[in-house]
This record gives sequence, structure tokens and C-alpha cells, in this order.
Amino acid sequence: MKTLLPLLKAHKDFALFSFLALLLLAAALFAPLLTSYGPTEADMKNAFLAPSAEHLFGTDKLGRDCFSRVLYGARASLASALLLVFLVFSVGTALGVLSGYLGGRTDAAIMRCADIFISFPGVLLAIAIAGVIGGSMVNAIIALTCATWPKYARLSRSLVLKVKQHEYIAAAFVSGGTPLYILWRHILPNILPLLVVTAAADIGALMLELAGLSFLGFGTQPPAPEWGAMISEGRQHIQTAPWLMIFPGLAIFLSVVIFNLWGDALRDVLEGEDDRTSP
Amino acid sequence: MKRPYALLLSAALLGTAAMGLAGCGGSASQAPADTLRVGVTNFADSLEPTDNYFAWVVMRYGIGECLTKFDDMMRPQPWIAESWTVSDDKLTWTFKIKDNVVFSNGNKVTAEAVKSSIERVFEKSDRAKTFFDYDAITADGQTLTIRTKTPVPTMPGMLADPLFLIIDTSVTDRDYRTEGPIATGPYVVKSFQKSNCVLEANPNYWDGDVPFKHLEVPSIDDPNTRAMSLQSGETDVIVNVASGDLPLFEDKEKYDISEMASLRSALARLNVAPGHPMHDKRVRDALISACDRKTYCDVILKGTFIPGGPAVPPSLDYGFDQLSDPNAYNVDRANKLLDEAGWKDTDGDGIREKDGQKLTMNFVYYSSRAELPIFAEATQADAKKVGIDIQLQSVDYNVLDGMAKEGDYDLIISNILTANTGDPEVYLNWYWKTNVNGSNPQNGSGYSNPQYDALSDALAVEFDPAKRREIMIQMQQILLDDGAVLVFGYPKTNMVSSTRVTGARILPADYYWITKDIRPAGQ
Amino acid sequence: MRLRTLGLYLLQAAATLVGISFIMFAITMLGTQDLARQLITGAEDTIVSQAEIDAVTRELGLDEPFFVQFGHWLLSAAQGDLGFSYMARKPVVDKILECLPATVTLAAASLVLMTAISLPLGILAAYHKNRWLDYAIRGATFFGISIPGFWMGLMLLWSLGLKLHLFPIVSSTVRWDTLFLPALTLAISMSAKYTRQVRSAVLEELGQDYVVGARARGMSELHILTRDVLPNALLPLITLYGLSIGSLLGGAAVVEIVFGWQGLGNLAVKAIEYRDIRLLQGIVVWIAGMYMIVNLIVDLLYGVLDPRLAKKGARP
Repeated sequence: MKTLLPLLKAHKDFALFSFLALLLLAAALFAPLLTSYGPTEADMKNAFLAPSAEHLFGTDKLGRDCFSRVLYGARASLASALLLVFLVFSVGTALGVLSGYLGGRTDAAIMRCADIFISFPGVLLAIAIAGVIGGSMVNAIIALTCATWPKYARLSRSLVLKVKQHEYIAAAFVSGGTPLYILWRHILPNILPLLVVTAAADIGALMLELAGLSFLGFGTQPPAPEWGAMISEGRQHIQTAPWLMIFPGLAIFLSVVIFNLWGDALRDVLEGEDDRTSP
Repeated sequence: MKRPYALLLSAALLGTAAMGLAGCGGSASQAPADTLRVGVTNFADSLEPTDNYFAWVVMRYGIGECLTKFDDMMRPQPWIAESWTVSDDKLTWTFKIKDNVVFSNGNKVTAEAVKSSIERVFEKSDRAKTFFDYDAITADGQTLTIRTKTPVPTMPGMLADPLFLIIDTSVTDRDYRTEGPIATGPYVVKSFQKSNCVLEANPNYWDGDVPFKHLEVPSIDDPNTRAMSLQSGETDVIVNVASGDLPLFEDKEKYDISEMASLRSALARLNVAPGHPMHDKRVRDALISACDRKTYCDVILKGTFIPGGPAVPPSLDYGFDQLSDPNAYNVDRANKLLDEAGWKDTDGDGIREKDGQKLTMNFVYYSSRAELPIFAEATQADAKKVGIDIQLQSVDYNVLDGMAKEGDYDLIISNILTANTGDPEVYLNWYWKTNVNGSNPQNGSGYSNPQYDALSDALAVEFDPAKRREIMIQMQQILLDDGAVLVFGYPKTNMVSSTRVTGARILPADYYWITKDIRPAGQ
Repeated sequence: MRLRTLGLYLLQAAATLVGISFIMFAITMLGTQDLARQLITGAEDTIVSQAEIDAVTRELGLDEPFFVQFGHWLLSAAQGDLGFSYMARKPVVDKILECLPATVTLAAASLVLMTAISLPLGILAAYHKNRWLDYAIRGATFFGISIPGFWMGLMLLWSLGLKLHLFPIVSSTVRWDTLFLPALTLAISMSAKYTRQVRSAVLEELGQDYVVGARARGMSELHILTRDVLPNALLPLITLYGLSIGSLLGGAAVVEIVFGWQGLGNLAVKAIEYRDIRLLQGIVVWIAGMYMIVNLIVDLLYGVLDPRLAKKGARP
């Protein structure tokens, strides 16, 4: 806490966007307190009501409250996006570090595998995988993990190779450090910041890809609320009840903006506030 | 200092504007009066009628015609054939071919041509044999006789299936897949792509004049885009508007809506095998009585479904109105039946128990049709009100089919075409005729009623349409009395047209879309 | 030496393609039950007889062991035959070639539009660094990068197509007017990234000594921009272009679906819905192949362009 406060003071952007991101998570977490309707609570007699004070975002085909669906949808959308980023980050980094650190055959095997997965558009791979093994959020996450991990593997591998060249690593070896110790003590701390920054910046993009898969019907299945799936459902009523696709769309947009800005701010914090120009 | 990017910016803007203008040029303009544009969904990649279900498309596009045609009650009527009779041994059908029918290339449609066309179907399609199997087909002038191996009571209906549309097989220098076969319909193909088909009037059409010189059939997969295309004037007729969008076309000055019950039934098969709660007739009667199917169809589905009851939909003339459903919506009756059956809620959690077992059943469904999850969820909600706990299980359709055969369910959803050939015999047998060691694999529910089986056997050899109808009505009544099935409803199909044209009418059979009856308004 | 590198690259590419094929094959075979049945009915839930199922099973050799099936497939794929599409009732390669023009046209159009948007904006932002115009443009890129493409596509369709009647709703044929909205949708999403790239690349070049020198010599700003700054700044973008082309060729599926654009991404989704695994495999392998070729061309191009520029001593 002692170090956090000055840090936040020094980086007002970061403080602001962290706050907004936390707010978003809080809204998802405390959804039941913010709305009196259940997300799957159907009231068929009140279907397709336009937004009003009673139903802020209107109601959908089963008379479910769209506002509470968007709120509860945040749980699915945010949780799955964060889980996805975490998975991609840990799987990719672990394999990349192994690859760079061990070298030799392990390196070759992991990198060839990465080549295969990276040699065609990730979205297509994800669609193919999620489509064939069946639509569910878990499968969508698996599919996107398959498609995205090589990026982190390659990045972390190159970082490890770079760090390995430094003299202090050699010095550490000479002074009798075990490989595990050196990896933990010298290499990881050096490469993690950049990887974390990359992961943070990817949250938004991955959230969009997840929503895209859901939109195509390869993600969360109805009646569970999820933004991409809600847009897909709302699209069927684009003319008669446009609010059904406008609000989930805005929800995705807002969260992605917040996480993108937060990712940027985090980068500034971790890399120093020099005049960053490259993304 | 400012010039370089100003230059680039204006170049870019110009480019964008040029593209935009190019876009405006061709769009949203009204087609010439002699052109008809019909927005459809097309699944066919080619117009070879013996491949998959592609013959449907050949017929939907107004290219091909059959010997017979179903009317609005799915009774076969003359089309290319004028009349037909069956021999006393019920094995030989004789069709008289109309004398004035010609192919689009001017060739006369003789019995010989019909024979060769039907033989081609059997040669090329695995599906043909699922309709009937013939011994011999003979042609003499305009008289065609088909001798079958076993009695086929519904032959005229079988031959109305698009698979058997009549084409000129003497034409060999033609790629059917891209140019379509030479057939007898009002339109002929000019160019075909899956996404867009351009046709022209058949200059030799036999049945009156063809109302439009040009016909364009774009395939618009998304139903909402299809609706928009009619609103924006890019199409004149569209097929199957999504239920929620129908109110957009209520303005009678601008649009005509033709709506009709289709041949499908949305239903849940109930597992009555020993070991399942619904082995007890009272439990299944209770469950059926607890479901407010009228609300499902009228309110939730906005009247796009007709509330269910009998197994066969009202679009077919098989006694829909005279059948009585003992399990019509009645919550009190449901509760009473469950009490009688010994299921009581002793621990106050809202779910009934018996011998320490909760009254829990699983309901397997698939989601590729939007209404099925709704029926499943609605059933779950209503069942809970009478103390039945229903667990929903969503699976892929092909997985579901396997589960249905295995009997791996308590309730399993189905949206089934009840009478592809105008006659629901196959359907009624498939789901409910007794399954002895895999003799009838589709019936995985354990349902078996000797009386039903006897009627089914009688039906197989009955040729008189009136008696067939009578038998199938009795079979349906047995199903209702036994509480063998929970029929949710029967979907409606629709066709919406701009008042620019008249005569766009949907029929229960899903393949009469573009006909000579669609004409410019005011003619 | 050059040839050997190329040969090595191609060899590696071939191995990668085999790898992809294997993964796809494994997923599809393990992920699908009762494949023959599914092939017959496709997306329709109709009744199928066992006889039909058995016929298809035999015809496609679906009863053979997995590796035998894969071996067969690989052997004919090596000869340019990707199998037969049950859904389209034609060879997979034919069906792919049918949809290829639409995808390539859309990719090209959206790249052009994207460049037309991002290049001027990026340059503007760089020249106005940390002034309001820069902030405005950078803010706009945040919007562009954060809007779900399919959502924006639907909104564009609804507003420009249905309400304003500016563009046709139906995009089932490839024409100038039908191309615009899908291309714009893709272009907006992509230009956010590119605008930032252009901005930072141009900024970097503007800080170089030679620019200062050129200005000191009194050369016109336009000259400096077009002769020195842009060529150097845009070079790294070529790699990015390569990646974008790759993902456009296969990854535009969502936008293609929204507009009913009959391209490869749309086809892939249809193939999944229909469970036409041969077609799906074909598309994936095909796109992977194209992707590699594009990247190879980009690499070669980079190699050709780079030394010339390096000689001028402009690049750091």
C-alpha cells in the first residue's frame, strides 16, 4: 500500500483507468444488488418493451430485463476474457521460457508447434475448433488459447534468449546457481514486465474475439447472458427492438475501451513515461 | 508545411467518396417492370436435381415441375400428369401424361421422356429408393405405368416430391449443375450461382404465359437482411420472414403476407420404458396437462406456431379438428394425477418425491431452431409448478439423434417434417410403432401398443385415401389417449410480397415458391 | 545460397501444412459423431434411413481407421485434390476457387480503404504531435480498435443501408456498391492499428538527423515527406500488411456473415454448420497455404527493399 499510493499519484491515467476497470468488475460482481430482475427470469407477457424507467434497457423476446442481462452478461464476458488472457499468457510464456532456456530439441519441438498454430489466421482456427467441438464458452476459450499462445511463446522465448546473453547470468552460473534459481531469480523478473504489458494490452482484443465467436454461435449458449450472444439474438430484432443489440454492443465497446486504455497506462507505468510512440 | 498531408488527405477522401458514389449508383433502385426479384435462402450449390436435396431448389426457382402437385391440404393434384389409377393387385400404377406439356427446349413431354427422367433419378440418387422401388416402368404414347415390388399406396404423393421432377434426359450437352436441367417450369436458368440465380421466361411454357421476362433470385441467408431487402425495394418477394419482423409488413397498401401452417410438428417424445418416471401413464398425463401450449405458441412465439395437440399438423387433412386431447391444459388435473401416482412433496422444496426419489426428468433438446430452446424452457417452468423437476440438456442435433435411438432421455425434442409425400404414415410409424430388437430404430422411447401396431399394419396395405385417413386418425387418437407424445405446436411458414406483384402464396409443401401465379400487380 | 534458404522455407512450409492438416483432421474426426448422418442432412433435421447412412459411410471410407483416412487424404491433397464436398456436391478445390474472388476482392478493397484512412491520419497526427488534432486522431483510433466489427457492420447496414438507402442491403454478389459496407467495416477496425503505426513510424523518422539536415537545406516539406520519411517509415508496415492480408483472407468470417458476403470465411462457417469436414479441412489448409505464401512474398519484398534503403544510411 505504501508503494501503491505514490505510484497511483504519479500515474494519474493509470489510477483512473484502474478505477474504471475495477468499477466494471464490481458491476459484474454485484449485479444482483444493482438490479431486481434475474437475467433469465422470463415474463412472457412483457416481451419487447422499449427502454423505460422500469426496464432501463428494455426487455427481450421472453420479457427478460435487458439491463440485468447486460449486467450479468458482464460476468460471462469479463470472466471469460480474463481467464482467456491468463491462459494464453501462462501457457505461452511457460512454453516460450522453456523453449528459450533449454534450447535444443525442446526448443525446436515447441517452436515448430508454434509455427503450425501461427501459420494461419487465428480467428479461423478458433472458429474451426470451436465449431467442431461444439459451441460453449469453455470451448471458445480453448480455441482462442490454441490460436493465440504462440505469440507469447515467441515473445518470451526471444526475451529469454536476450537476457541469457547478459554477463550477470553467466556470472550467476559461475557462482554456482542452480538453473531453476537462475530462471526464477534473474530471468523471469527481467522478462515479465513486457509480457504483462502485452497481456494487458491484449485483454480488449481478445474480448472482441470472444464476442465474435459468441456472435457466430460458437460461444456461450442461450439462455445464459453473454454480450456477443445477446447481440446475435438482438440482431434478429434489429428493426423492431434495436435496443436489444445496441446496449450489449455498447457494453462490449465500453469495456474494451477501458481495458485498452488501462493496458496503455500500465505500459507507461512499467516502462517509464518516456515518449512512447510504438504501440 | 501543411501541403503534404493535406494532399494525401484529400486524395484519400476523394477515393472514399468515389467508392461511396459508385455504391449509390446501383443501389436501391426499382427494377424494371418485367423483372421479378425474389429473396430466398438457398442451400444448393448446384442445380443437379439428383444431388442431395437440390431438386427442391430447382422447383422453388420455377425451373422444374413434377407429375403431381400438392394442394393446400397436401392432397396430390394433377400437374404434368392428367390422371392416374392403380391396378387391382395394387402393384401397377398408370399415369396419363397431359398432351400439351413441352420442355423449355420445345420437346414434347411423352411417357417415354417421363420414364427416362424417373429412371435417371433412381440411377443417380440413393434417396430415390426411400420413396419406392420399382420393378418396371413402361411407356406407351402418353401413358406411363409403374410396377412396384411392394404395394405403394401413396405413389401419387411420392411423385410430387421434387426429386422426381421431370427433365429432358435427351439433352446431354448441358452442365446441369450450373445451367440447370431442361425441364417444364415457367423459368429457365440464365446463370446460376449459389448466392444469386438469374433466370428468364421459358419461351415454350406450356401452361399459359409467363408473367415476367426476367427473374432474379438472390440468396439472402439472414432472415432480417431478407426483410430489409424487401423494405428497401431490392426484392419484390421474400420467403420466410422472422416472426418478430412480420409486423413490419402490416401495411396492406405496400405488402401482402401469405402465412400457412407448415408440415412440421415440434414435439417432445416421452420415454415410457421401465425405469423412467413416465413409465407410469399418470405421470406423463400430468406433465402434458401441466404444459400451457397455447401460451407458448400464441404469446411467446407470437402466433408463429399453432398450439399443439395431435401428432399430425392441421395443414394436413388427418382429423385435426375431430381428435380430442384428454391432456389439454389443466394444472389441477396434473396435480391430482401426480398425487394418485404416489408422488408427493414431503420435504417442501417444491419437487415431489416417491420412495426417496425426486421426480426429476431430463429434457434433451437442440438449438439450431430458435423455438426449441423456448419450448424446453417453457416446459421446465410449467413442470416446476406441479412439482416436476426438469433438467435441460442442450446437445448438437446429430448427437440428439443418437440419444433418441438409444432411449437416453426422459423427454427429447423433435421438429419433424411429418409428411414429405403428403402422407404421415412414415412419420407415425417411425416414432411410435413397436421397436423389437432394433426393427424400428427411431422409436427409442419404449412405446408399444398392439392396437397401434395393428392399425399400422393395416395402413401399409390400404389404398383407399378415405380409409387411410380414417386409420391414421385412429392412430393419432391412440397416441393422445396413451399420452405418448407432447406436441408443442406446428410452425407456420410465410411469404411476404410487395404490392408491386400479386399471387405470391405459400403452400404447406415447402417447394412451391416461384410459380407462374406470381404476376405484376394490375394484370 | 538464396535458393537454399527458399527451399528450406518451402520445406518447412510443407511440414507446417501437414501439421495443420493433421490437427484439423484429428479435431474434426474426434469432434463429430455420426458423421455420415450429418453429411446427408446437413443443417436440416430430417429423418435419414440407415441404408443411406451406410452408403455414405462406405463411399467416404468413414469406417476405416483414423490414420488410414488421414493417409488417404494427405496423399490426394499432395496431388491437389482436397476431397469432395458433400455440402456443395463438388470438389472442395472447386468450391474454394468459387469463393476465393469474393474474399480477395474484399481483402483488397478493405486494405485500400484502410490505407486511405490511416495513412493521412497517421501523418497528420505525427506532424501535430501532442496537439489537439493528434489527441483527436488518437482518440478516434481507440474507438476504432474497441468497436466489435460485427456490431459496427450491423449498425452501418441498418443506418446507411436501410434508413438512408445509400447502399444495397444484399451483398450476395460481388459489385462495387455491395463491396463498400463490408470493406468499410473491416477498414475501420484495421485503420485504428495502422494509424498508430504510421504515426509512430513517421515520428521516428522525423526525429532523424537527415530530416533536420534536409530542412536546414531548405528542401520542401512535401519532398522530405514523400522522398525520405515515408519510404523509410512505411517499410516496417509491409510486414504488418502481410499479416493483415493473411487474416483478411480467412479471418473476415464474422463480417462476411453479417453482410452475407460469399467469401471463404463465410464458407468455413457454413461448412461447420453443415459438418462438411472435408470442406472445412480444405479451407483451413488452403488459407494456411495462402497465408504462408503472402508472408514469403513479404519477406522477399522486405529483403529486396531493405538493402537499397540501408545504403542511403537512412535507417538506424
